[in-house]
Amino acid sequence: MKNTRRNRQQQKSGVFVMLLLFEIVLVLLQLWLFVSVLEGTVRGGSPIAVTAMFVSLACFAANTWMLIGVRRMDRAE
Amino acid sequence: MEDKLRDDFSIEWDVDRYVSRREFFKFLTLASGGLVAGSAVLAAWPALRPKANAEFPRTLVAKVGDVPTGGSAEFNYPGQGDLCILLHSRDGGFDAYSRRCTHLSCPVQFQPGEQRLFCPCHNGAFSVADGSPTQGPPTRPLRRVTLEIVGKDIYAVGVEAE
Repeated sequence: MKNTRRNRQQQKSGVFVMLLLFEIVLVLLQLWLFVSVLEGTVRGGSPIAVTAMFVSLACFAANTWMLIGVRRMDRAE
Repeated sequence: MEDKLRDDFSIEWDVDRYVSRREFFKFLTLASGGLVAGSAVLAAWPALRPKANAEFPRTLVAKVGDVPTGGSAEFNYPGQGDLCILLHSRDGGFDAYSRRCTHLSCPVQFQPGEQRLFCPCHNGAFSVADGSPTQGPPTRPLRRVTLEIVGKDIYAVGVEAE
């Protein structure tokens, strides 16, 4: 019984770390897009500004979804 | 309430500085939201910024005889804070540029010996012929001021868009 519980906790911890790493990747992607568009704007206009905003929004939605999932996982314990 | 207060303002230095993985996760999500907001501002920037074709005043900046051949004169246009420079080229023509360096906005200086506009902040330089960058970090040309010569009067009538 104890082993099952410990295994489940280890699994949850692994999932959490994977989600955290994925979130870091998404935030870095957003940061890269933001800086690229900012540089383009300073140079006189960036053609990818609107596309970058939607991609960034999608990343934020994924991050929020993962945060909600993590909180649910915590409550379930 | 008291427990929460102790958690937030712990007298234990290690505990006070401790950030859990979950708090870091929340912080990253918040940062992600901030980046979305920033991206939205950048996407809307072309609609928010003042139009490039805004009307400029017609301002007398110098008399033809005031600037010797190969010399320069400084003036402010279109506003008092907008530094510009008028150049009288050796072939007799007049050119005017904004003095704001396109790298980090330091005022450029005319160097007649080397026929260039030099930015002392980061050793940038621009051609006097067309304002294009010739040296250093700037990648964009200086903004050219449109001139109109009527008799012996030189007027500034506009600033070209970047």
